[in-house]
Amino acid sequence: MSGSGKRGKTADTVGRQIVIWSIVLGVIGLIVVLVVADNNDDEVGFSGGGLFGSEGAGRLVERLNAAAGAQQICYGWEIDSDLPGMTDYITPVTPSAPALRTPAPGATPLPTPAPGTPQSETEQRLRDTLAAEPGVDVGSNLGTGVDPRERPQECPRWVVFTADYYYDITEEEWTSVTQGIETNLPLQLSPSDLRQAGITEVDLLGDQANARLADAVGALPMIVAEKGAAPPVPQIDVQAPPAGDKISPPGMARYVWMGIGGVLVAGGLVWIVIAAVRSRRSA
Amino acid sequence: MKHFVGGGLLAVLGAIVLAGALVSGNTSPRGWIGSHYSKVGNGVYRAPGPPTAVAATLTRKFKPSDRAYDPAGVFLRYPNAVVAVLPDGKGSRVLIDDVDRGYRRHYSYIGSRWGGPSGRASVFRGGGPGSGK
Repeated sequence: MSGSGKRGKTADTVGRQIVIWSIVLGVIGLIVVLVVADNNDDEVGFSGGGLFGSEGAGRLVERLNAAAGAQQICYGWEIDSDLPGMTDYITPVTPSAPALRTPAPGATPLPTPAPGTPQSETEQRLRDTLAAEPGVDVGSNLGTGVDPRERPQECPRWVVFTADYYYDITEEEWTSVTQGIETNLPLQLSPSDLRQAGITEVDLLGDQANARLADAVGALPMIVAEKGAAPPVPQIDVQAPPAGDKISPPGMARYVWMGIGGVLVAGGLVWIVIAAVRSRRSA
Repeated sequence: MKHFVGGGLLAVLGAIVLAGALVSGNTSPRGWIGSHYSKVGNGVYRAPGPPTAVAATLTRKFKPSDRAYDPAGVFLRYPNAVVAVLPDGKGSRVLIDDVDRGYRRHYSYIGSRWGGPSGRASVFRGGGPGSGK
């Protein structure tokens, strides 16, 4: 074999290796971008503790409060996260204007502590609840830490979503959940109602489990209304977003996959071109 | 010859991935809703079923990129549309908007959740322990 032939073969080999490594590095780079983008998405929010964060819990409590006012039914949640280290709500959330007040004369009114007031009755009750059952997130239209089943004066009628998670310390994730809907209404309610609404067990164990938990709780008044046990909850008046407030852009995953596809196509075409050049040289 | 086959397979694989990404980004129930429900206005339809059932049907047929269940209705987000399913008598009213208009119209329900200042959502964005590590 001549020297020029050897050099040509070496050049071909190097060229092929460059193409292969370019494709491999390109795909790895895009996958890293995909993972980083996903992680950044998950890191947003949840300040204030609990499963929903203070802002999420506040929104949920307000919406359940509106439903309670419209339907005269209390709605709540009790979620055993199986996470003893789960942080509690730093400040208990209460509805800004409770729709349901104590109906009976002489009954104990629902305390509405001033914001930031330490050691209020509500705060103490929340601490007691969480101290007794670490990792359990309880709340209702009356606020975080308030179980409507234990407040018969304010809540003669109630519906509570329950979920009992199993946290696998090896997998470091929730691996199973038992869900239920408890009520004292003369009505059959079960997890199948949530499944029929599109909220499945897979959702409650998935990437957006906390959002789906909030959805499961938020859907209760609608399910009750659809069964004819209460009127529908009225729509909120249209409120324009403040300046600069806009919908978040779609996730990057689609663009990363498009990038991976593009790199593979380009790599395949370059491979073919190199193969064609080589075969022409050898002919 | 084997190099032509290898390059061709790689290019075909890339084309499949590319096509899949392009198709998944264009998922929208707009046409399906228009052909299955009664139109009562511009982007407004009437469905015979209750909101939760209608939302579940749409979710099964066209996987949304996000959802929001509120006591007053269900909201589905797609890459090119926001769909609201609201109670309407014994049935549902289905509203379809492009994403910006839908966000403005339903801001009271989905503000902070699907967007926020500079498009940064702040509510229910974490995956929790269920998201895996």
